[in-house]
Amino acid sequence: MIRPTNVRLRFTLLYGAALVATVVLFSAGVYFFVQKMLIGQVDNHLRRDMSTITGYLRYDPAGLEKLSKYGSIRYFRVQDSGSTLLATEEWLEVGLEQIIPPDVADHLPYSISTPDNQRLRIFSIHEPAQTKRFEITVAHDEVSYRRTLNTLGLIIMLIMPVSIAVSLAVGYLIAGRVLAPISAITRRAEAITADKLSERLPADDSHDELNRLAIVFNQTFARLEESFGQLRQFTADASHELRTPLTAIRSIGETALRQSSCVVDCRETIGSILEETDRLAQTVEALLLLSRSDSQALEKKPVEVGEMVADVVDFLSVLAEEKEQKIQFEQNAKLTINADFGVLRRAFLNLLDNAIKYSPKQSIITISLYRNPDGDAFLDFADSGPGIPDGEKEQIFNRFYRLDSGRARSKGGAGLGLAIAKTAIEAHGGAITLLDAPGGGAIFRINFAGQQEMGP
Amino acid sequence: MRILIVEDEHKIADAVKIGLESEGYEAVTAATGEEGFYCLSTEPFDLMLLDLMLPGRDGLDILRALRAKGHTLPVLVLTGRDTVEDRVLGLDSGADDYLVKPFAFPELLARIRLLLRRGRQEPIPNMTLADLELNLATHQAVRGGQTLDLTQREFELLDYLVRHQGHVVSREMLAHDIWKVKERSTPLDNVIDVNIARLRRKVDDPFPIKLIRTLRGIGFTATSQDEHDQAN
Repeated sequence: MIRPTNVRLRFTLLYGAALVATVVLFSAGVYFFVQKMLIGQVDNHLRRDMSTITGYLRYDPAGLEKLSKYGSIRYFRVQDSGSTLLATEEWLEVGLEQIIPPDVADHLPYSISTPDNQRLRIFSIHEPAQTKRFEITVAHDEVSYRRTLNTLGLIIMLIMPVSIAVSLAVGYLIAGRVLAPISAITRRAEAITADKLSERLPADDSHDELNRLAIVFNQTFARLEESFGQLRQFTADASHELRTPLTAIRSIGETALRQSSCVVDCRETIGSILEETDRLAQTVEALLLLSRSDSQALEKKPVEVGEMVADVVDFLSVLAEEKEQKIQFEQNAKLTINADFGVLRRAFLNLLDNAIKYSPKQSIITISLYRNPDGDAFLDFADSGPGIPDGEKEQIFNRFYRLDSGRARSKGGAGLGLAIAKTAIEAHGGAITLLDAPGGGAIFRINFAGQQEMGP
Repeated sequence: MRILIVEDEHKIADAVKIGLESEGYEAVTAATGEEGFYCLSTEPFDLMLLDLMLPGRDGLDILRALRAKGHTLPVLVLTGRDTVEDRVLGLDSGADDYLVKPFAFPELLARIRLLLRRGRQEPIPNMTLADLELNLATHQAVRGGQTLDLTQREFELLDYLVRHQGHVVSREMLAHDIWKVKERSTPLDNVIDVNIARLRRKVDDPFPIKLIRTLRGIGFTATSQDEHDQAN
């Protein structure tokens, strides 16, 4: 069964089902009640007729004959010990004599059908009189009772679908009105993004459900704001606590190298310590950059993506020249986004550096900025490297992940380049995916669809 | 030249003091802002190195109080914080320059030289080094009578090294001053290395005396002196 995803529709359907059940139950109740009542009327009629006949039998047996011929009771018969003494013409006409066997009196009315489909109500009793034991049977047709009941059924059948349809429509409208404030809350909550966490939904002291929902949302926002604040504080503290010892190591080492008493071996050692310190310092900076992007503590202003890419290409072209590679930048679209200049540039820098690093000598690296027919902007970095195995396509963006631990270290970096690129792109509302290039190699595709564009 | 170092991390303060002294400066350390104030009011100084994160009074506080009292000595702020607000705050409050920790010592020296020189007649830099001559007007470098075929970037790099001849040039300095980039990154280091290697190929490879040297873990230097004095 398909579950409707729309709450409004689901609410209406549930409401409709409950309504149909109620209406059916109610109609059935009315129908059976009316039926019972009408049958009761027929039965009362039969009992009245019966007492008329027994009255004649007791006090005026001769009048009974007249009653059967000219009276208002259309169907009756009187039997004595199984043989019929008296029966009306109609009784014989519809063949009741054949249907109702003698001596069946059970003192309770019941219904039968004649061979020509006439419905009749039958009532038999035993009546002791004049030392004999008579059996009297009275019948009454059910035509008027049936007609009334059928009319009622027809009315129910006509009114039920109409009323259900009307109720469903009203239910749908009501559901819409009930859900409208929730949609409003959702829209407002969506607008409260990471850089606007101090904003709150409007809420008052009332205890209705929607107000409580807004209050719960606000509490969540408050907690989020607090943890973002803590993360920022942590980043600031960590940067101080990590940089201070690094500064000390550097200063001490560099000062020591300046002492003429420092011999050549010692210089080598200190130089090596300083190199590692420098690498550690860069890793710390990279982690701080990541943490800054994570906590959205970015300073955004409009950036022309094409210009930035061209600048990055120019910046790293010397590395490509060393490997006799060619970098092609195909700019087929203009794109201006709100971005943190340093962080976004770092992402592009890392992606191009990665492409240069893993592409063979004399190959071509293609960067293209374009839009798809829907107008969404993309930026592709396509290299001619060995490509990335399917199983590692996701992991390659993990922090400190290395595709091939033996090889990568010699190419520098701490395995943070792509992680920084991904985090930086995502902090700007973009998405980065890794695809296989048609001729081998990898394509890092940045989708800027989630990014608020600036201007045309 | 007397320099006051206000820094609460005594290892950093001592290392900087020793380094400055080996450069011929006279250096005094102070561990707190109050101590720094006391030193400034009792002795004359030509420059102050001020750490921003100090116990007790914050470095910025001290800087503002200092300027309010009319002290005009150049102040180089050392900070572990690198967000833009902090930088603006530092310069607005009367700092003349700042360095982000962990700084490279050669850069500290270069900044100090620059601040001490400020306001005085700029000496015309010596644009020759051994048999290498730079012509800033034509952007040509000539070594041993031979014109070197340098790219724009390579010339800028050589120009920078020659201007700082005898002193060490760190990667940070090159990043800031040649590539105009605020933060360092692995790609940038690779770019610097490639450019230095190319420059060396053109400037040093054809000649017996090597002018450009790499100092492990510190940076580069252009010098005509022999190997043993390279660090100075």
